[in-house]
Amino acid sequence: MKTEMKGELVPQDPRCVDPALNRFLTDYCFADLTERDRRLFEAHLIDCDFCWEEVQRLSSAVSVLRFDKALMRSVRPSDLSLLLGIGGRLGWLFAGHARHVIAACVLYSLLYVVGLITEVSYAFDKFGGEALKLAPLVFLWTAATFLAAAFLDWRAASVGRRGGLALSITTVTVAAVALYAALCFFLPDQPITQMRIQAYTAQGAYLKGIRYTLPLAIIFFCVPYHFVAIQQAALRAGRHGAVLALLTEQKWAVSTPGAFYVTVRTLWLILLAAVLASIPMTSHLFDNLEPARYMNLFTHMVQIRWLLYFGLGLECLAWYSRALNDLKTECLAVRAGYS
Amino acid sequence: MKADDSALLSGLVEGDAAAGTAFSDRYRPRLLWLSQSAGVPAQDAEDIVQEALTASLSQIQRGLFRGECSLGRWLETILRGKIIDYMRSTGKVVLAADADGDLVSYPQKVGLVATWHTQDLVLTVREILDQMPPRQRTVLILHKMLGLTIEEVGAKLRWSPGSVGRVVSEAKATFYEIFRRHAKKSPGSLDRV
Repeated sequence: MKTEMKGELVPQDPRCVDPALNRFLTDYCFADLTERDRRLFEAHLIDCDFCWEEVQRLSSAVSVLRFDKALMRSVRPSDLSLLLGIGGRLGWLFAGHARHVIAACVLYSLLYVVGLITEVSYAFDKFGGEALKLAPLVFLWTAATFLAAAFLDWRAASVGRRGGLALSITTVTVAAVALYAALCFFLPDQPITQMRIQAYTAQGAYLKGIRYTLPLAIIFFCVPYHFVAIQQAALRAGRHGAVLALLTEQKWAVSTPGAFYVTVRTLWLILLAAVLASIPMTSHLFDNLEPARYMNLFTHMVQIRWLLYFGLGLECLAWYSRALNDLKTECLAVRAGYS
Repeated sequence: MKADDSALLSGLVEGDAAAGTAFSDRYRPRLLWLSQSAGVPAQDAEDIVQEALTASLSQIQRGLFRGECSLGRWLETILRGKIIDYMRSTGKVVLAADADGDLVSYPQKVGLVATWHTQDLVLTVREILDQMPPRQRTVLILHKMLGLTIEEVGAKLRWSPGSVGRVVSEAKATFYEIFRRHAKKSPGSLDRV
């Protein structure tokens, strides 16, 4: 009789009697409710069989989570790597190297702009106005195509597709050639810079500038950026050992197909060689200049171009050095465990 | 007021012994839980709950409970008063007043009380963590197990506190979701010890 009566008096409700308060359940068990909400929910807990049962069970699981330190093993090194390391940043814009990409993009685009003004500076009164009008277009075109190249490479690396490097190199090359072709409608096909020796035509001189600038972008930007993005993808896939072996130049290390590992030392040597070569070349150029009205502008533009050129090289090198260091740090951290 | 509350109250007012037992069976464990989660030691919690139940039964029989709020809310208020009296008498907690001038209740200890856990439960929690997305798992462990604040977790991960808070919320929801799936698969194995 008593049991029957008890059953009639206190039926077990299989659902929450107040779903608006049920949303507090998880936060209550994790002790994250405000004082006011907690009091509301505790009163509800006395009324609601469903929430009462759920709280009893979930809070014991939360208690395990709080007090069983052995659960720390559930955090795998790869989890921390994903959250803290460079590998986890592959999904970010430009694989987490947006600042580097933008800095390199600005320097690279300015090289084309300054090159244009340099090549017409000896006749600035005649071509200067037009060159200044074209300069923003040159900058935008170069910057947009440079960013597109970096974007395509990053997308290819993040979805595990090969050919990102070829895409980026093709993009910047085609963009430079297209720009040159377009500027041929503006640049005269005769020498503008007055020199004691045979000078290049304006078009030829601009092409020579591209011949120097494009390889710089490919060697110092495209190849390292692609390599770093590919290694980030490898880290995300958990291949920390292989990446570390490659970075520490182990004999048995195998490079990822399509990614060329150029060491920082090699790039420094190339840049140093370029600096050393540029000194006599620039001196030779200045020694043979014919004094003219805009010679001062020309010499300034040449030096600005020189600074931009090696500025781009240095920026890329500094970034590459730091990125390789981050890759190694993550590999070592994962290898050592999450101490 | 719920229909089953009305039936129970009618029985209590009439002095029905079965209703008294049902009342005690239904609410005693919940009140005990609330007392202990408020930081009252188990040996004292029994006494406090007994006093709260006796007081509430007496008030119901005298017609002082008029159903203006739910029975749960009413019982919780009586229990809270008893707990505050207890805290005062032991001098364990400095009480303050809330916006309404009422004494603020006790510090919340839910989930902070270490209890013995069955091996099944520990294994289940490990499985739940294994099934969680790595981001959520790591943030939940940093915040809830290691006790780092949202700001500290944010500083470690170089995330904004808002992002950390969002992931913590998602992680708690995921934890509960997977926990419920486990509970459905093996009912009984996850009961509190």
